Amino acid sequence: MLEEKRLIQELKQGSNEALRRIYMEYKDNLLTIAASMLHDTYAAEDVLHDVFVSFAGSIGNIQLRGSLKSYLTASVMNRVRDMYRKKKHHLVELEEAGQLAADSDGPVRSAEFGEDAGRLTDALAQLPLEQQETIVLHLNGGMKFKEIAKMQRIPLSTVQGRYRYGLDKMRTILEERAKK
Amino acid sequence: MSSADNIERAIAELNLTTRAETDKRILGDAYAALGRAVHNQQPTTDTGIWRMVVRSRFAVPAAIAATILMAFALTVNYHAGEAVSIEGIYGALSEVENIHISKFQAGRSSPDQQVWASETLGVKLFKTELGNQAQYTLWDTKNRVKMIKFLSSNSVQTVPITRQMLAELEKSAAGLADIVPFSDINDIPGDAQWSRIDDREVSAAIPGTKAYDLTWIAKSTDSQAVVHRKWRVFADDHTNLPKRIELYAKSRPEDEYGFERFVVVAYPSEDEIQNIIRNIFGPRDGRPDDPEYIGTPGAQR
Repeated sequence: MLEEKRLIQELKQGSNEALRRIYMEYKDNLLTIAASMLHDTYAAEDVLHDVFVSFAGSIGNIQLRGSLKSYLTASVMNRVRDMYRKKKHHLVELEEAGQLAADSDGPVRSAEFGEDAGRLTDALAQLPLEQQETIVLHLNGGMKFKEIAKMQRIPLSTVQGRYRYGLDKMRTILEERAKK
Repeated sequence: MSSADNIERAIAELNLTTRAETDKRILGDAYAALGRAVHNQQPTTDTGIWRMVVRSRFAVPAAIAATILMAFALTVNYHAGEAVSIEGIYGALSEVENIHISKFQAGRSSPDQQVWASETLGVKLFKTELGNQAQYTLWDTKNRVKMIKFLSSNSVQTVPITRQMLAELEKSAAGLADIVPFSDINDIPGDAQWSRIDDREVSAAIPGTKAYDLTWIAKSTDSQAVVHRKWRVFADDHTNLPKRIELYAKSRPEDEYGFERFVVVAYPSEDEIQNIIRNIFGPRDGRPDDPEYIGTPGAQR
């Protein structure tokens, strides 16, 4: 935590080295979180780009209340939600135009994760967004349920419920696939 | 990959690494953004308000006036800053671990139902009044046992909690659903209105609190019918935690809101909840002195 505070202080004075160290420390984890949610590595890289450019650009106004990791993870999640909204809107437009079938993004989804992990992320993609978020934040982001509740401003029991329902549903999806 | 453990492990092991060209692109743009941000926050010289004031021939009186104005502005802002947002209420509730909720119908002095819940102890205790009958139901999720005490016969029924029952419990008693108008803050309609109640009489009803109203229009999914709803919360001055909730509704905008029900909320300690359970279900006869055994008698009882 002290190291984080020092890095932020240096960053506020314009240190590129501090920015590089923060980026190198968190980039892979944040990319994994974004890709697990978006199922599209290119879109996840765009999220990572936006998060770090925005973080650097607003450094004068940033006051960390929790850890830097939580702050960056929350920023990733906010952008993922934005992309979901846009994607949903886009899908509706495509559906209306009758182009949906021709515009599959399937291969991009799981190619970077490998075959097994791809099945896993495909199952994850079938959960409601809130359940996906909880599972990814807890397992990939390493956040405790209490931290997730605080970040999302929802009761702890809701977070625990979303997590349990999500895992149960994933298990069912994977078992059904294995039978086929 | 069928068990929950394996799925959890497999997800936790997912790992992607950025490509070198991605790092280069992101860092390049981030350095540029940092440069601009740092440049923009450099203090400007000789153009600040303070310097303009002291250079003027009205320097001293103007400076005094400015100081008074700034002090006044700060005072005004300070008072405005005391108001809590709806996010502040949800945020305060998200940190609560032990709670006691008493639910009343409007005009009634005895509650229909009381709930004691402790996240840390893993228990939910319900007291429900059904006509002249009353019963306590304890869900001890850590020990996977459900106990029902019928007050009329003073008998206790104990059943093990199955996975399905646990899921049903979580679904039916989804956290703080009895307290907040929407269990997820993101579900609050965009056009909902949040306002502090200035009426001193209302605020004084519950000492040590400030009262706020959230109003919104609830639309049913299967018809055009709408209900105008009002959720009034009396939030603690220091903790922002609700101490009392009131629910109102009306069908037409020109009508007065009708008072439907209210909830009284308290935040007991773990010990207090343990004592309540012990008083209802008896002492821990023959149970190991393990903190996970929170006073519930054995399943064989």
